[in-house]
Amino acid sequence: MKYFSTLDSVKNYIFTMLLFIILSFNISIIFFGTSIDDSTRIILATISSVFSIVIVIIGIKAVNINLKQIKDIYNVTNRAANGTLFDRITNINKDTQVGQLSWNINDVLDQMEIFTRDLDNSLKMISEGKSYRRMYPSGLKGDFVKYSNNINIALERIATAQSKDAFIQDMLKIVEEYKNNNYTHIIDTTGMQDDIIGLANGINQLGKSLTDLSLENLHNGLALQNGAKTLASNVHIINNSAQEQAVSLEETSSSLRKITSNIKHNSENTLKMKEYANDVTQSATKGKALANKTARSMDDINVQVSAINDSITVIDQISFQTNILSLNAAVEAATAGEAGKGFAVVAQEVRNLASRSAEAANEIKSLVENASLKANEGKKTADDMILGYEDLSSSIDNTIELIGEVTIASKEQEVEITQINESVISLDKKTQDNVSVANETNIIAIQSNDIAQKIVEDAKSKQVIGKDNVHIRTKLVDLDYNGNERRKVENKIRHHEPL
Amino acid sequence: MAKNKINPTNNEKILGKDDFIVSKTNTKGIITYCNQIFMEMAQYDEKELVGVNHNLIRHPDMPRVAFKLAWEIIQSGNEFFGFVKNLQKNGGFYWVFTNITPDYDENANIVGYTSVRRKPNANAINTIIPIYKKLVELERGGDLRASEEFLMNFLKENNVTYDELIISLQGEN
Repeated sequence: MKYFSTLDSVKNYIFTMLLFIILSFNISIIFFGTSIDDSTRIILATISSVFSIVIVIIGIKAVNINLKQIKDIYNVTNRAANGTLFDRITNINKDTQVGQLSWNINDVLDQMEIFTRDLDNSLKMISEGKSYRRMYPSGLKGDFVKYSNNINIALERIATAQSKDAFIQDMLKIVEEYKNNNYTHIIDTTGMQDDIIGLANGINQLGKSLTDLSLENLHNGLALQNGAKTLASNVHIINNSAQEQAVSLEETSSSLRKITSNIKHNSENTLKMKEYANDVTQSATKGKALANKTARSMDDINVQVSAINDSITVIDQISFQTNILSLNAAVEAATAGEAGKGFAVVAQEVRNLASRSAEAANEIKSLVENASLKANEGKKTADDMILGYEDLSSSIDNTIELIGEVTIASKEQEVEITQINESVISLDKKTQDNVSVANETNIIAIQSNDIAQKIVEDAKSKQVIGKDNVHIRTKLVDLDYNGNERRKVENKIRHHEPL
Repeated sequence: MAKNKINPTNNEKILGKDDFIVSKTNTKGIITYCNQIFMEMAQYDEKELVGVNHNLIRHPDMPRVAFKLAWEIIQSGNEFFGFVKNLQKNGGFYWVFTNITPDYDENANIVGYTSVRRKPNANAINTIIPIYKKLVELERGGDLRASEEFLMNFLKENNVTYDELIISLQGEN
C-alpha cells in the first residue's frame, strides 16, 4: 500500500501526461507536416491539442484504472505469496493488458487453490476412512494434472491398504469370537485382495473345523448321555433282577437241601421196606404151610366124623331093635297077666331107654353133621388162605422189585440233587458277582452321564450354526434318524448298498 | 440486479472436459468472484455476476432440497458434491458436477464458499434426471419434507451415503 501511494505521485502523473502530449504532437507532425498552409496548420494544431488533451484525460483515467488493478494485483499476489490463495482480482477490464494479466493471475490462483483444496479434501476424506474420494484432474492444467494423477495413484494404494486393514480387523474380530467359542461368523471375501484371501479362507476353514468339532462333540455328548442313561436304567434292572435272583437262589438252595435229605431218608426207608417185605415173605410162607396143615387136619376130622356117623347108625339100629324088643316084652307081659305085670314095667323102662338112645344118637348125628360142615368150611378157608398166601408172595415179590428200583432211582436222584445243589451254589456266587459288577457298572454309568453332561454343556455353550439340529439316533441302527449322519453303515443300509 | 424472468429453453451447452467453472460467494450466497469459464457458460458479464446472489443461475428443474442439503453440508464445514443443472442468461442450460468447499479466515471462521464445477459424467446425469424430476414433483406444494424423505429413503434403500452416491456416479474424471 505504501509503495502504491508513492507511485501515485505527481511526478509520475506529469510524466504520463507529457508522454501523451508528445505522442499527440508527433502524430500531428507525421500526418499534417509540410503539405498544408499555416492557418490550416494552426487549426489542425488546435484540434490536435484538444485531441491530445482528451487523450491525456483518457490516459489519466486509464492510468487510474490500471493503477487500481495493479494495486489489486499487488494485494492479491502478495497474499498469495504469503500462502493465502483465497483472494481474486475483480472488476477486470479484459481489453487491457493489465486486465489480461489479472485474469492470468486469477486463473493461476484458481489452479493452485482448486488443486490444493482438492488435495486437502481428498486427504481428509481418506484419513476418515472414506476411501472413495479421489482428486479430480478435470479442469486443472499441466503439472497440476500430473500431480493429481500421481496423488490418485497414492490414494488408491492407501485405499487398498485401508481396505485390507478393514478386512484384517474383521478377521481379527472373528478370530476373537472363535476364542469366545462363537463359530457362527464367516468372513466374506467379496472384494478381498488376493494376498489376504488365503488368510481369510484359512480362518473360514478353521471356523468350519471348529464348528464340525463342536457339532461332533455335541452329537457324541448327547449320544453318550443317552447311552449312559440307558446303561444306568439297564444296570438298575440287572441289579434288581440279580438281587431277586440271589434271594430266589437262596430259597432254592434251602429247598434243595430239604429235598436231598428227604431223598436220603427215602433211600433208607426203601431199604427198611425191603427188609420188611422179606419178613412178610417168610411169614407168608409159614402161613401157607400152616394152612396146608389145617387143610389136612380138616380132612382127618372129616374121616373121623364119617366113622362117628357109622357108629351112630349102629347105635340108632340098636335103639330101634331095643324098642321093638321092649314092645314084644310088653305084649308078653300083658299075656302073662298078673305075673307079667312087673315085667311090663321093665319092658316100659327098656322102651324109654331105647327112645332116649335114639334121641341121643340123633343129637350126635346132628352135631357130627355140623362138625363135618365146619370142617369142610375150615378146609375151604385153609385152601383160600393158601391161595391168598400165594398171591401175597407174588405181590411181595413185585413190591420188592419195585422197592429195588425205587432205591436205585433214589440213589440216582441223590447224586443229581447234589449236582443241582452245587450248580445252585455256583449260580448264587455268580449272581452275587453280578450284583457287585452291576453296582460298579452303575457307578461307571453315573460317571459317564456326568462326563456326557459336561461335554453337552460345553458343546452347547459354543455358538455354532446347526447346533439346534443335532439329533440322536435312538436305535443302534435307526433308519428314521434324520440328524447329521456320520456313520457309513446307516447310509449304506438306507441306500441298499452292500455293507 | 433486476429480476427479469428468464424462460428456460432446451438449448444445452456442454462444459469442456479440460475446463472448470470457479466461483466464490460470501456466506449469504452473494457472488464475490467468478472465472471466465463461468461467464462463458452462464453468458453473463463479470459486472452482472459479482455482487449478485448465486441463485441467479438456478434452473427451475433443480429440486430445492438439493440446495438445502448443500447448505447444510457446507455450513457444517464439509465439502459438498452434486450434479446441478444451471440456467443460462438466454434460457439455455448446462449440467455441472459441482464441488463446494468452505473458505476460512485466520480464526477458522467460515467467511465464504468456493465452488468448482467440472464436466459431469453423462451417465450420471441420465441417472439423476428422473430423481430430480421426482423431487421437484414432491416439492410442488412448497413443502420440502416429502422430497427430503424421498431422498433419504432412496439413499437408505441403496445403502449409500449421499457423498458416496454422487462420487461413484461421477466416477474417476
